[in-house]
Amino acid sequence: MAELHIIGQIIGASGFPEKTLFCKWGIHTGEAWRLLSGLKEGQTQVDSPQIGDIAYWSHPIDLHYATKGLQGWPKIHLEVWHQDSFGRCQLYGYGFLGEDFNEKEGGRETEKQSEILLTAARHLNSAQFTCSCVIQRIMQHVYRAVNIHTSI
Amino acid sequence: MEALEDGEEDEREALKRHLRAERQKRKKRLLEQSSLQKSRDADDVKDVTSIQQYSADEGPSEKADDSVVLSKSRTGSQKVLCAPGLTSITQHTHHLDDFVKRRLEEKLKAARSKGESLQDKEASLEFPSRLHSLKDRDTVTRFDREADADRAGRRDSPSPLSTRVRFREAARQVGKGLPTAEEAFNFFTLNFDPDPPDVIETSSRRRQKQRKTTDEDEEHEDVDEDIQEENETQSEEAPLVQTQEDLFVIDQSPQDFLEIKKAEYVGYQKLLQRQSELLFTPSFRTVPTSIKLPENMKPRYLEDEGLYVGERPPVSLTNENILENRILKMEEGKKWFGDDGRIIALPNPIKESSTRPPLFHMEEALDPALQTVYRKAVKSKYANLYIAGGADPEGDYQLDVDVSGLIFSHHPLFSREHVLGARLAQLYDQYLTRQRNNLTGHLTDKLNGLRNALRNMLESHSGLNPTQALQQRISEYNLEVRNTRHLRDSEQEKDRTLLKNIVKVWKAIKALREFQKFTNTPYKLYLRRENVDRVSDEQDYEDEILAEVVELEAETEEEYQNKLAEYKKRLEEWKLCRKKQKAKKKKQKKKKKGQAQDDTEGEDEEQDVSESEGPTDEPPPKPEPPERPDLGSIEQWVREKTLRIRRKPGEAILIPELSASANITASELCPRAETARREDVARRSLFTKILYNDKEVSRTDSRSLNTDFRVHFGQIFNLKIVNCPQSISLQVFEEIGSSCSLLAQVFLPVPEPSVVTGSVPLEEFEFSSNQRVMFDHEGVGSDVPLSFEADGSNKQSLLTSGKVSCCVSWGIGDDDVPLAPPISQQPGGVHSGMGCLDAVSYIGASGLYDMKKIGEWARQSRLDPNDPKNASIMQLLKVASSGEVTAPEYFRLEHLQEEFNFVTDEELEKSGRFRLLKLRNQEVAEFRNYKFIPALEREVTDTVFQEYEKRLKEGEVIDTKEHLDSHRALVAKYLQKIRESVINRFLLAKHHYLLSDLVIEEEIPTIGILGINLFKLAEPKRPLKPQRKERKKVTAQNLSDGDIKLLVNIIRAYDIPVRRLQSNKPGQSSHSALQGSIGLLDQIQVRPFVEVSFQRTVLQTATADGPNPCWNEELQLPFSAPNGDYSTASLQSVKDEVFINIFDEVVHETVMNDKNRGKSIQTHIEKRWLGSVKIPFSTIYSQSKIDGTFKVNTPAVLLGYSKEKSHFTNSGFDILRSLSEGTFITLFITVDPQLVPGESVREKFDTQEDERLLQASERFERDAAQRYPERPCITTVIDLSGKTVFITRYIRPLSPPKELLDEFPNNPLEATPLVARFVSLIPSLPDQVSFSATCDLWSTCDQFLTLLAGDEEEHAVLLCNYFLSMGKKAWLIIGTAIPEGPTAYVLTLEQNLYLIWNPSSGQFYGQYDTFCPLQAVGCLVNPDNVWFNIQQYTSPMRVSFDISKAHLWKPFFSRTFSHPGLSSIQPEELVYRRTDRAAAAELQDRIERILKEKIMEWRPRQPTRWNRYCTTTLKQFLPKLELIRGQDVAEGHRHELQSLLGDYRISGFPLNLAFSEIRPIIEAVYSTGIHSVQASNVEFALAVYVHPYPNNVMSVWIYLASLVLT
Repeated sequence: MAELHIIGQIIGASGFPEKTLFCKWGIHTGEAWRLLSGLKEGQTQVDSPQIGDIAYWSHPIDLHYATKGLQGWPKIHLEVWHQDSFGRCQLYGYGFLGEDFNEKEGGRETEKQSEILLTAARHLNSAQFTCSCVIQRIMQHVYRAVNIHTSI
Repeated sequence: MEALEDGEEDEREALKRHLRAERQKRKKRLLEQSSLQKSRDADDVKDVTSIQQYSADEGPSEKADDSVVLSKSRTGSQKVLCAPGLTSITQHTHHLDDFVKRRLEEKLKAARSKGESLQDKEASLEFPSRLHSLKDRDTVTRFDREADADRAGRRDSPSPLSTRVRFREAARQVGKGLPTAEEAFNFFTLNFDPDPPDVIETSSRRRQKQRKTTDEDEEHEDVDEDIQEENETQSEEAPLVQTQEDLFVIDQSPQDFLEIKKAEYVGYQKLLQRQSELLFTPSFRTVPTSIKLPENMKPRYLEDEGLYVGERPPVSLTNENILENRILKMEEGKKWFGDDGRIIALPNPIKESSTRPPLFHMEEALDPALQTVYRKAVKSKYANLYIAGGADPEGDYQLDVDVSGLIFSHHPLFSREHVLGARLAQLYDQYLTRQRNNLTGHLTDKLNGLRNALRNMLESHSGLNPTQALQQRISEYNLEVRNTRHLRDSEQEKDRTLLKNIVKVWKAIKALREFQKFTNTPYKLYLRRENVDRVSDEQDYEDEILAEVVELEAETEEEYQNKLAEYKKRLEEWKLCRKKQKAKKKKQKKKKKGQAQDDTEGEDEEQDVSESEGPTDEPPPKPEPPERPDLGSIEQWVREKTLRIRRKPGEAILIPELSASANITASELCPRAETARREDVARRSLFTKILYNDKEVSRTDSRSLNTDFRVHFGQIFNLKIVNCPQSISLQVFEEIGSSCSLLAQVFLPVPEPSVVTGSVPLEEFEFSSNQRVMFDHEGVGSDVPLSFEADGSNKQSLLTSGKVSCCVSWGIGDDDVPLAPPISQQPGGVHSGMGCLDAVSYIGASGLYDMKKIGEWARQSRLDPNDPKNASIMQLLKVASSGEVTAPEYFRLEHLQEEFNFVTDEELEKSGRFRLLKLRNQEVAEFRNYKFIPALEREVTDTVFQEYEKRLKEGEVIDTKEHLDSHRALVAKYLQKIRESVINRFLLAKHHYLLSDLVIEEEIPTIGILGINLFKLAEPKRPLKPQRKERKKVTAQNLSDGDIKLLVNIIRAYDIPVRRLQSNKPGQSSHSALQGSIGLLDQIQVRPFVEVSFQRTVLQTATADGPNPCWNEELQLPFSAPNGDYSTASLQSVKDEVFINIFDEVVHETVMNDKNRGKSIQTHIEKRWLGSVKIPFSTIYSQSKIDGTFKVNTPAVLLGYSKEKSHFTNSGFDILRSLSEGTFITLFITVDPQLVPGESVREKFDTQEDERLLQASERFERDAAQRYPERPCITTVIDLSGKTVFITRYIRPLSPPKELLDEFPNNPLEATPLVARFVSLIPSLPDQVSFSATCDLWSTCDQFLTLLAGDEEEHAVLLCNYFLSMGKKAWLIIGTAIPEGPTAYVLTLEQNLYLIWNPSSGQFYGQYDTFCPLQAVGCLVNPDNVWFNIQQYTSPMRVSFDISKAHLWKPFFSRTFSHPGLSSIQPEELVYRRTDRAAAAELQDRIERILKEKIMEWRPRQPTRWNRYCTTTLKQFLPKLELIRGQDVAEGHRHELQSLLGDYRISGFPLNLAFSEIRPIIEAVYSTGIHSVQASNVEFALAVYVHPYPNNVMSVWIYLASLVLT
């Protein structure tokens, strides 16, 4: 029985033709994964930055999964939308951060629950995404921290 | 040898003869041909238009010159370029010609079908126009063809007729428009003469043949002169024929569309020369200005004159000069020059900046036409071919390609001698190979061995009867001998033939050398004789023959015997049916036998065949007996054969030896043609390209071609590869000067990984090319028929061919590791060798899932079961054959999921932790506020779930024990359900966040605020006038227990009842008298203090004196939220109330007489309940503070106390004045820190209202909120089903219960308070508490009466409706009150006085009553309209309730927006249930019993004695109290009681409650503190009375009293 915490935030987006943006997101998992708490999909507010190019959302993501198997790791998909002055929405970009939750061996052997937080923010041409995952008790002993990279 | 020489001589002669004859023949043929053509011309002119063989090869040089001269007259025509047919050049272009021709034929074939069908269709339509056009076409096509023969041909043939016609017409017009009459004349007359179209309509094959003859005859051009003359005459005829257009009408043959002619080539020098004659080349010297300008004009420079002249485009001076020179040659050339003598030019068109709109706008969308289209990247075909690990630059693989060299077995530049030489070399190679293998010798040895063995066998067993096994062996030996002999014979024959061929070719070479008088090849063949001993040789020869003959005879005999046996068998059958002829047959048989014997013995003595039976002739029906083999002929045949395949006995053994020692004749001595060939050879060089996966990766150096046509490269190429090798090939290129052409391509096999450099020998790969090459020198060319026979027969076409010797292998790394990829990665290597069928091709890809098919395939292809590669298949088959294997009918995605799970589903479900987490997330009531969930499974106890599971199990069952009334149990259940559904709805709605929920933006201070702040700084400090500071609000979620405190500031109280002197029995007790006297004296007859209890915490103030005490004391009560959840929703649902009780502190002093010590006074302090105020926490929470003076809820009768009415003793007071009597207390209550009150749910609800109405109401409310933000304004409310309803729909006259009205049939005015009391008796239950959110739900009156619970709105609505039905003018007041906050009251107009009714208490106040709890009036509602208060003040005392005045009250429905006639949602009539007195009595008993138990419970230390007498007395009072609704009964009542209980000091009071549940009753009793009397001799009295009202509304009276015996 392993648990996984996905804690992070969608910071913002930049590099799109317009700046008035919002983001829809969702997390997909395989069959073996159970959502214990948290919302697995959502939508950020529309940010229309007056200064700077980055539309900041700082949208929190906080999920808690339990899994009975290692297949079907959570994947997050992001859709960046633009809302124009008439309130019409238009999809500007989307992306998945797939299974390459870049795994790093925590190497902890303690029985006690521990949390390792790793934060990664990558500023690719559009969306920033920070996410930290805490995996609890995979196979009771192995603790691993997961680091998500975005690529949109 | 002599014979050989003779042969050579012969051949030479033959060759000469042949060549001569051929020349003659060709000449003759040409003559014939031309004459034939001539004769045919007349017939065939019809084809002239379409096919014109421009026979350059036959075109005479004189004619060519002629044409040149002629064409000079026509400037601009390019005809000259192509006109002369130079035979020598055409030689070179022959193959090109062929190529073009082939292409045209193909095109024609395609076009013909198309064109024919088109023709058929259009024939009728197009005919006339075609007739016209055909005439002109001739001229047109001629021009075209001359420019580009290929194009012309192409254009002519396939294009549809219509376009062709159009084209021609256009051409004709052009032609007509331009030339002058003279030109036209020249054009039509002179033009055709010099190069008449050689009209040929023979098949292409014939032409080819003709050309061939020409090729071979290049040295004898003079012979052709006469032919040319004929051609000339013939061509003169052509134009004549062309004019006969009628002839063209005849149908068109396919050739009509096709024009075949050779490509012309003109020598470069000649071309230049001719071009110089034709073309004008302007000089590039600067032209003097004077020439460019008109005469006598001076150049004028506009720029100098001050005019703007644009910048000229930059042109190089040379170009400009050339252009000027050219223009000057033209007519009117000068007009191109401007005034300044320069060519007129527009300004430079190139702009500084781009004028084209930029492609990418940031703002606008791009024109869709310009939009870039995204295409998915296509994966390269080779992408998946990369060798795994190939990405690593270090771990790559290396292929070594060793190109050693190449040898031509045929080359176009071979001379005849070379051809023969190559053949000789080939034969010699063959011979050497044979010699090395020496098959003949081997076979001969074997044969001898076999014979010996056989002989030995026969000898050793000669005397004995051969056993079966022996016979078998002998026959086997015989068979073996026979086979071996056959093999040997064929080998010997081959040897012999080879030798003969070698000799023959050598002779041919010699003949050729002699003939051509020079030597080209270094080959020289020696025939070495090896003399043999004639005798022994002959002996051997004869022996051999004899042995063979013997064997053959034996074989024939055996065959014969077999046949005979067969025959006999059949004969036996025949005999059975023909027995009678037996005798005759026998006779005949004997005779025949004798003859046969004689024959055989005469022919061959050695034959010792013993015949047991002789065959006999039988009559026709009998089967034919086999013929006796002719043994004599056998020897004959053997000898002949031996002579053929073996050398004669005694003849020397000839051993050919080929050497390259012959001298090659020096070039100077050779004839011109040969020299030319040699020069050609020397010019050429060869190189090889190495192609890896069809990409050139490397090439060898260029090596010149040697005279022996061998090229040595000797280069090794190391290829570092990443892609899997698909193909490796070498391309052999021949270089002549700077041009190079591909000779051939050789594909090399990809080596096995085991093939490593160093271990592989060079291999020879043959190549050949089918390119046709022809030369005008001695070179024989390629793909050109060639004959060495004198008569020209036996022609061979030799193709360029040769061998490349090279090898491909995998390189070896530094550490001796082969740099080869593993086998598995080599595509194509999977297919195992021959005999194995490819599974996929056999059963098809889809069939791979079909077991049967796979099985069948495996059987047929005979898979090797031991091959590990086939293991999986074999296993599959094993399973398949062993039993029924049913392929699953389903398809699943993660089919390996199960294998990788580390827990099962059940385990996951069982996990308490996960369950807890999930339930918390789902906000299930029990777990909603669960803070910390244990991290470890074992820390989660099962008890956590017990309550939840219990609830789930008993969800439907409602505990009726708590409820004393079945009806209320049902109601409670119903309420619970509504509550759940509403909660769920709100939970959902809670997750709908607004921007303000997520984004908290600090307001940037404006200048105004800054300015005010600055002013504040400048303000003088006034410490005596402290200003209230805004407290910081705290969001609820980050709070924990103990953080929140409830602050209760008790300031003062008014009109507290004072103790009444028990004057009826004065002097009874000195103490009391004393007390009484003090009271009388000081007028302080009460010592009140306040006790505040909240959540079981009790605090009290100090004791003050007098009926109007002032405490001014702050009490801090800790607050803890249920389940430790401080979320808004949780806080809203806190049901706790703050009880503020006022007590009187009574001190009893008891004098104790002690003999020893004297007197001591014992003081007893007793508190007596005077009244209470209840404030629900939810009110405090939503109001955040409560500040004001509240009426204290005092019991109707307070035994021992009386109201102090000193000021108003003799009153003629009206009813209103008396109403304000009572006790009041001033309080300030708040929560510290300040909590953010929950906001109302913003969810938009369903509605059935008109959209217009909704919009109007929204506008109305918005306007109101803008102008008077403090005044509550409600136009729409939400009903119980969650729908938005307009508020006026709730107001409708509804009749109150009849019983109430019947009480006062005469005085309806009297009934009013009763109705109000009825309404107030319906329990009040705030919405916030019941529905845990701040959403106000309005239930209709029938719902309200059914639920018997509701808050102020429901009460007010019901009361208002009752009043309306009673004929009163009534309105609903939406306003704010103390302590309820926003609430609803009822306004009535009676006798020109406005009365304000508090529906929850049933009290009414006059408009000018100071103590009216209503603080502000927002709007008034009646069934027809809503009025909003737009007056300056909101306080009821200062408000005018005259709604007709528009400047005071703003109506919702006005003239502009009239009332749409909204129907009420209230029922037409309320149905009341009759009062159930029995149930009331039962309830009464139960309450009494419960209360008694409780009081005893609360007094665990002391005995609780009940005074029965008192109780019964009290019981009698209670109905009376109900009757008069607790008003002003105190005096008589007390007197009565006093008389009854003279000896007791009694204190007590009746409590009146609306009945909802038992719990509030207990709470109320507890809060009075009556149980806490400490006196030892105290007795209690408790009486309960439940008065039933209609519809189960109950009024509960509880009389509590404590009695102390004095």
